[in-house]
Amino acid sequence: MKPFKVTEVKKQMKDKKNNNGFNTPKDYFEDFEDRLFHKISEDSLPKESGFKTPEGYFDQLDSAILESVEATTKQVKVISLFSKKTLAYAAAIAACAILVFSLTNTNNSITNIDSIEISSIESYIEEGNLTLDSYDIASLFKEEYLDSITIENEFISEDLLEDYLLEYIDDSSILIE
Amino acid sequence: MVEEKELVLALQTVSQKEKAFRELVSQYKERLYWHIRKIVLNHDDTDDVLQNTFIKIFKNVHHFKGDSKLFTWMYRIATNEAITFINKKAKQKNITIEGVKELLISKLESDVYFEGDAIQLQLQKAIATLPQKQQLVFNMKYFENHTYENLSEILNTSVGGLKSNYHLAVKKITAFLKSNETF
Repeated sequence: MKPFKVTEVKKQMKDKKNNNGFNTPKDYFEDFEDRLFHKISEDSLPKESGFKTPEGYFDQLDSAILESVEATTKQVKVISLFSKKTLAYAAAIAACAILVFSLTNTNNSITNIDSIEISSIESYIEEGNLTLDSYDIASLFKEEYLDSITIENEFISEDLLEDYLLEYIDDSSILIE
Repeated sequence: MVEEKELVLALQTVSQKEKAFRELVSQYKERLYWHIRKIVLNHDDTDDVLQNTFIKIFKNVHHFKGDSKLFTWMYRIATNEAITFINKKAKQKNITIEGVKELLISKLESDVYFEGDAIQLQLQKAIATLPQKQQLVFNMKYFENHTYENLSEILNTSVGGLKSNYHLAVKKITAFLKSNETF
């Protein structure tokens, strides 16, 4: 049950032709309950957060901050000792060196897949790094006419097959003819 | 306002910068401290973030154009530094930001510099369950008593948006406290 007869008040306000010149903000009465209960909730919350600082913290803080500001601005000053000219020269030399290295180093890359250990290839695949889609695989296939494909029947001996089935199939109802 | 203009001018004048900066630190260190503390929760981290904040203020005050109040600008830097700190911690520990907050809350009870009673601890726990924006808005409106207009500038959100954030926050907090009543 609503403690405030908001709907009745609203009706009365609408019915009155003249509020004696007074007006309320839009939706004032509609929102009244919400705002009131919100205020009540808010009031029930603790006023203090419960956090505290070490004794004398704020007293020593000013000098601590000024010290750390000084320390960082000093670092900036040191860097600016390098003149632009020497930096430009250093950059140019470094660029040349990189260029020379990259041109002479193309032979060293491993193109021979046999030189990579199988175990490292295996772990590469296991970690999910191998991204092959069906198009990649399809491009590796040679084209062959369907008629010329023969299927070998003698891959697995019947004895081996039987042993395997007996060992791994629990539901013996499948095996019984 | 005239005072602030003078202060800004001094801060941007090389010969007066240090003196003006000392004045700034003295005036605003506490407010910025508590603002940061509510976000990162423990004292030592707050101390770090606060120092970084003031360093940033010192380094960048010559960029300050006066299109907002100086204090608003400083508060924004403090907020960003604190949030960056939380994000960094999340990355280091490989957990979410909410996870970091939960971790910090769990340490709160045994924290030497938290002397809150049971309900104050519950309130902190409740706040930590809110989305980050609502946490900020709630802390700043409820504990720091900013006006919505100030908040609007600092957080770059409309007053209407802030009001609804705040109301939602209070609702959720109240519900949390009710459902976790142990007293």
